[in-house]
Amino acid sequence: MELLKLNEDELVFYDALANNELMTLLELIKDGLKEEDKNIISQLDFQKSDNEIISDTIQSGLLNFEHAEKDDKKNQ
Amino acid sequence: MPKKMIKKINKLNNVLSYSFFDWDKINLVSFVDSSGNQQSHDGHFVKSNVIFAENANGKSKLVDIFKSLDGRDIKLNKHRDRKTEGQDAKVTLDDDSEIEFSETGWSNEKLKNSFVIFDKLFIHNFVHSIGTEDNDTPLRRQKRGKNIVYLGNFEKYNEEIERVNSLKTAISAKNLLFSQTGQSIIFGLLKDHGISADELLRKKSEIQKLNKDDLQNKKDQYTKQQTDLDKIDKSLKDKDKITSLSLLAKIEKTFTLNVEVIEQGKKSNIDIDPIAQFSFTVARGVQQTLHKIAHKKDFIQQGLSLLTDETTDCPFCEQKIKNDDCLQVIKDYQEIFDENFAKEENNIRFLLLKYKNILEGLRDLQSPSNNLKILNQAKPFITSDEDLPKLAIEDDEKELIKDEINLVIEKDKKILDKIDGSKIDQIKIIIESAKSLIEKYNETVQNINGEIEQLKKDSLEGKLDIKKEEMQKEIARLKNEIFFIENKESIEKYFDVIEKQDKNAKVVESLERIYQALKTKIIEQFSKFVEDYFELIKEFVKEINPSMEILNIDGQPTYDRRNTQDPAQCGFSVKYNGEDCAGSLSEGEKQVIALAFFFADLRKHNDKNKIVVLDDPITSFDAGKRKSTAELIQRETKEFNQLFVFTCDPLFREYCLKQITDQRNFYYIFKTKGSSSIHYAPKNKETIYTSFETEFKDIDNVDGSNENVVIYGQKLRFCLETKIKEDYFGYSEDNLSNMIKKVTGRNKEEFEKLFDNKEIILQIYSYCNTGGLAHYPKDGSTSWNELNYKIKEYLNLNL
Repeated sequence: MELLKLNEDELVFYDALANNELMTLLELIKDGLKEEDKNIISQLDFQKSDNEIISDTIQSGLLNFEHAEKDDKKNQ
Repeated sequence: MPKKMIKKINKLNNVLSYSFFDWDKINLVSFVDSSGNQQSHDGHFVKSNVIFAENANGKSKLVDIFKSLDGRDIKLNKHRDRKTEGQDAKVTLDDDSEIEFSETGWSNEKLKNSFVIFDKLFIHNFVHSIGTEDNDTPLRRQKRGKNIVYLGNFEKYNEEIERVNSLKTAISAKNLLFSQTGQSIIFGLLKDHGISADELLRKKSEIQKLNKDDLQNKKDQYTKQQTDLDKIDKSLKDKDKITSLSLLAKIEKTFTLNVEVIEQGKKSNIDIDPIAQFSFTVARGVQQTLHKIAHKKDFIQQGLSLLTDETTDCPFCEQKIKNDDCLQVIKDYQEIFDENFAKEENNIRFLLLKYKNILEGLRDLQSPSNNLKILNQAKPFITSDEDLPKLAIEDDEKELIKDEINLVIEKDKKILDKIDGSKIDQIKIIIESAKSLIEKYNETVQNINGEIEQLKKDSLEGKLDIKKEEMQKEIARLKNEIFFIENKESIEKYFDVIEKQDKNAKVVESLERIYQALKTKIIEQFSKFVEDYFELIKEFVKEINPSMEILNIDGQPTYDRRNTQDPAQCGFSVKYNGEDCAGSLSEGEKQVIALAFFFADLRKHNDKNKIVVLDDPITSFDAGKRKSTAELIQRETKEFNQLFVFTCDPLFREYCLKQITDQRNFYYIFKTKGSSSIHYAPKNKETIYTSFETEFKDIDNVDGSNENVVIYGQKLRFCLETKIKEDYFGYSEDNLSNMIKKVTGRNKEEFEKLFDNKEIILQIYSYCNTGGLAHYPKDGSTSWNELNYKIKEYLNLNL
């Protein structure tokens, strides 16, 4: 939202909103977050669907559903 | 930002609806100035530009071209009939620099970030109304909260940050399923064993230490504890029997080759040395003598007692003792029969006896006869399952002992004979073995006695119940441990699931924190937005539409509109004539709010070098709002670098032309089947049909090109339609009285002209829309001739 010229941060904020860029929004709030939360943000790609994100994070080891996944597969 | 204005759009070739457009071909105007000199004017854009076009003629496409110049993500597609052909465009700025467009984009970014644009997208993006709906359930009404208008993208925030929330929910659900699946792995096991999953988790470190190799040991302990528990139960039932239990007797015998003797009133120890005792003897001659005098022993001893140093006569033969030899014989006898010899002999006998006793003790070694009976009486009650050790020595050992005893007996009979054959070394080994057996036996006795005594004491003091309870606990512990060891693989798998579940839950917690942080940020931004914009927006709304009122919502803004406890939200409430209407805002009302927001932002905007573009800002407005909007545009944009107002509304066009007078030009956009085009209308001919009619009069001098067929065809249609609508029926007037004034201003004869020429008028109109122009480009010359004829027909009508 180019129109709302407030300050640099706010401009980024409005731009992010105008373009529905959650990733940019997350960047804006990142400084106030705990280290572990920052680490999680850096591993999530919100351009992707929930399932894709979960797949990626399982791949990277952030999430682990190993036994359940196996049992799910068995049940299928 | 350096100040830049768009001077003209030189050409647009195969860009959106502008299939072919050449500015100079259309807008170069020749005129005679006040001094009578022939002049030309290219009709270029000035500071303020009002552009009129009917819908679907290319107005919004021109706005798209501006957006593309601004650097926005707008794709300038090719015309659908010319997809395989190339594209080009050229824009000239007021400093005569040029920006060219090809399929790779614009040649430079001189106009990037130069525009502020109000259009439908602005309304769509920044004004959202939420309110109750007719089909809402009471619960849904409650959830939706008050009627709210969201300005800016605040309404959109929900969708964006809901991505975090939805991911959190998805992970959380998956984690729950994961946990449940993990629990199901051992759920049956735990249920059968009677232990909860929580208890299992509490014992995690204890379980991890358990080893499969200990299983048998644990099972044995468990069985033992069960047996002991039965015994405790029995003890509790038969208390009397416990009282009467006796203690086992210890073995007091000792086997040592050492005896205590008292000599001269003092105690001392003498070692029994069978070899030495069996070897006790005297010289052979002495032995023979002793043998001979054995029956006169007392007589000899009596005689010897009479011998002294002064003795001169032999006490035995009563003759004079004459030589030393006799004395020597006497001394020898004295030695044989003296007290020491007798003592020595006795001593040997004594030691032999002791030795014999030891041997007999070894031979006869056995457990006290009553012990077994006492133990059997105690066993049903005591927890110790110890048995009394076997005490007897082996048969071959007994045989050896017997031989040794016989040796002792033989020696005792023949005390001065040396006896060989003692097995003292083996005897010593048997003694050590017997000692060890006794020690072990006594130790067992002591243990059992200790337990019997403790049992009696506990029974007496009523402590058996406590013991039973402790034992039950121990049994339960062992039972668990056996269960844990036997199912360790499944349990560890479950622990693994729980560990992973906890780790996943931490990600969910993080996402919740991130979600909350996003909400907080949005609320902060909304507060800032309210502070900066609200009053201005409110003023502009009032100015555009005095009946409408926009109100800030009381209380602190919160994000979640489902929060019924604190319904203040990132939005405003709107009242129309005092009635809450945010939930049912019309498009016109949304447009009022959007426009007010746009003007508020222009007011706040510091950079006046921007080019302001308004694309149809009043489509849903009534006449009053159109007028006030035109006034606002003039007032609020005059300090900006350049202005483009696009409209399809003749009335609004008229208001703009009246209000915006400073450095202002006026343009029309037409579109035929072939292309949209921008037409400059000179100030003295702003009723553009007058301008076009002037051109029509010179039609014979115009090149009959394909492009001109399109351009003049559209001009003809426009003149015919607009002139009749506006000049005869007051279509561009803002109210009925003005329209009536306009209609009644013409005399009846003029209207009769319409009636009389109705057929010709309709033929020309039909030709322009679907008739002769449709031949283009099949037969250009024929089309141009036809058009030429129709234009002349129109001029002859003299409307």
